[in-house]
Amino acid sequence: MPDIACQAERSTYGVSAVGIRRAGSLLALALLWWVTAYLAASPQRLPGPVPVLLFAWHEILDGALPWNVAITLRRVIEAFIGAMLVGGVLGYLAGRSRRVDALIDPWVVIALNLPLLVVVVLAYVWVGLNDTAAVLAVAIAKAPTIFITIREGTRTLDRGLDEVGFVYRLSLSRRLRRIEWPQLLPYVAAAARGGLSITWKIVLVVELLGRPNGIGFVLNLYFQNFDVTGILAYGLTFAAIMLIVETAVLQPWERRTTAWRRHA
Amino acid sequence: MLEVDIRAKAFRSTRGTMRPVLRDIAFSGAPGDILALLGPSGIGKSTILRTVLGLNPDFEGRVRLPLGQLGVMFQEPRLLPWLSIEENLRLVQRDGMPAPNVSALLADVLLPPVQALLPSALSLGMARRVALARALAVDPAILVLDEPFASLDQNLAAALGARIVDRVRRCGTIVLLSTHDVDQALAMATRVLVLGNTPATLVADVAVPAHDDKTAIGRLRQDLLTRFTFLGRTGDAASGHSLSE
Repeated sequence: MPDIACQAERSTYGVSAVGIRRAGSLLALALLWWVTAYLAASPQRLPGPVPVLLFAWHEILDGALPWNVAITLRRVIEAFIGAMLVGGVLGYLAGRSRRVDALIDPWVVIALNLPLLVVVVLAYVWVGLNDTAAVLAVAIAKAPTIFITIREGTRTLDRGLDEVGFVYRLSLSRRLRRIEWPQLLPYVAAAARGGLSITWKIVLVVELLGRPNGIGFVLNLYFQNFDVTGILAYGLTFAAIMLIVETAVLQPWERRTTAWRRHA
Repeated sequence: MLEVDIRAKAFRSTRGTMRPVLRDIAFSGAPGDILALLGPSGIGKSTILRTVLGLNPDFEGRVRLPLGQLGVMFQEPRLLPWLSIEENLRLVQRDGMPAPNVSALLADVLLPPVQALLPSALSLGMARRVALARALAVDPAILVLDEPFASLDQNLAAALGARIVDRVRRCGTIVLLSTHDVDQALAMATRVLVLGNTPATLVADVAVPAHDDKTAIGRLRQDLLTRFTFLGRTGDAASGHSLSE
């Protein structure tokens, strides 16, 4: 009869099993790509994984890929932080107060429904063809969905715990840090994870429209030359970086901060 | 001093009409007083406590709290589930106050040293006792306890009640508690405030004789039960006018 696994065995087994599944799933995707490329037999239109990897490797040695990735990454991070701060703070205030919500909500609906293209073009026209305009446009495009997520999270805050903070006359900073922040964290994490992936896609559009560097610019260049290998090499490299950020930074962070839930 | 004068409190029903729940509830307490609000469940005891605590700003009347900290034990424990018991007890400490002896605080409410655990590891009865320890940890000038001994067995309730009485004598705290149980009220309180009618009013405000005078207490108990028959029943009295709070 097998032994009943103790907690330590079970958790290490669980983590590695999840890791193996994720790796297997990625491998299956690569295999599917390789088979499809092989069957299509048209290296111009759909190159296989090997030429794309070789091309990416060449571009890395060349320095062009790291340079463009770094530029795009910087814009992503700046726009992401700006959108999280503005959307998060306003979302919190709107979730707390119906009056504030009535003031902000119409703006958010307009911002949500304004075509991305309009925001980007207007930002370039009004601010100028520079990085400030690019980052600003992305932040404006992204902030409304973060606003909505955080507003909904704020509305679910436990009123009973609020009252504990009130009757014990806790300082505002203590209420925010110890009572509200732990309840908002899942919403902040959801906004961050959804936000990051969308932000980088918007950044590419902004780069394509008016920046002389960055991945969006490079993709446009390769598109004009019908160089699918180049497009895949750059696109997938950035997706890979995002996958690493997601699994190595965001997910462990979310897991750690919500650990108390699993003891319930 | 605690001075409470609630002239009227109403709740808005789902249909938008106002339903009065409290009328002309006035009482006061001095340091050392243990006031027990006694009445069937659903009569509005929690509403009175919430109004005293300032959680019902929408009422007619006036509440004056004594200077100093409030210690509150709600009906639910209301511990922060992401903080350990120790962190929960430290949370309510003012900056600059000496760090509390957490083991001693837990021993005060007859709990073993569970400070390292998360609240979800405790039973409801234990969690409520942690909530009581949290209320005592701020060295309160007034202690507000909503059905403090529900979900505790009788021996434990009696022991905890005695410890609270002792603390009140030593520190001059005012205690305001609610209960639907005549015996619990008589065992602890220095004064019993009986609630009845709809909307609820104070139907009696009686001083409790010294707790070692068993015959006097027994007479008062009998008197209360004959005058207010609703105190004899438990549970079913709630039906028909239970409150949203």
